[in-house]
Amino acid sequence: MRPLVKPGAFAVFKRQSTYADGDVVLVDHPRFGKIIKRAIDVTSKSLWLEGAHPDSLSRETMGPIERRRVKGKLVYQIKRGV
Amino acid sequence: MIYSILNYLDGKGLIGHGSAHCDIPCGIYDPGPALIAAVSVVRLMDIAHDGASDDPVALANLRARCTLRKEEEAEKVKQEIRVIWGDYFKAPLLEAHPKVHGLVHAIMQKASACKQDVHREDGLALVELVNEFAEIFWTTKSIETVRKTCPYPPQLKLVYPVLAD
Repeated sequence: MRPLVKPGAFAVFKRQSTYADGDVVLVDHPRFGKIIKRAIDVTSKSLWLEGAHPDSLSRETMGPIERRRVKGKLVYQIKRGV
Repeated sequence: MIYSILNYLDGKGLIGHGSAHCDIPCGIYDPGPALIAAVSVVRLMDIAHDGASDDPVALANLRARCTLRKEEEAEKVKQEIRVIWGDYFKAPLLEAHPKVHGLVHAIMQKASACKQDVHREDGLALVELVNEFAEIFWTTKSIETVRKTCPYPPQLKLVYPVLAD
């Protein structure tokens, strides 16, 4: 997610009842563990993920994500040195 | 200050971790292995054609081995290119380099032709196609390239990145 989330930053996530396209979310991915990505194509039951960096995993590689796996939306981050 | 406090708490295992940096698998992409595999296809065709032995069984063995390895190297070309094309090239890069789709398809076709037969011109064409792909790949990373003769048979011109240090 560089440059949106800096390496080593502490991030605060808030659990939401709904999510929107463009939200940066914490997901408990069945294959990749806890990852932070941007939500896209959000529906009431699922969403897809994309990274902000050219080397990021493709959305197809990460696959569709069930809503129950979304743990929260990024609301604040504390970067190194603050 | 705030960061230091959080860092201390993190050291105590009180804060969960999440990966934000796309390092799964690792972000390492390089067309080099595909180029080496393509050159290997040509080399194996050459050995299959030029191999000689008084023992017909030994010659058959040599050609069988070359055919098998050629099959594997051509398949490796396809696999390496597919991964870069499918995982590395995102929409903005594809828009900037619209030739990539057609080029990748041509590589798939030509690699299959190399598997099906032993025409050296197919092997040379495969190397050239992968060279073109490598040039586009390094362009996306703003890295210049140079074509140099590889220091091993069949001594073909290959694309190499010009790295700063």
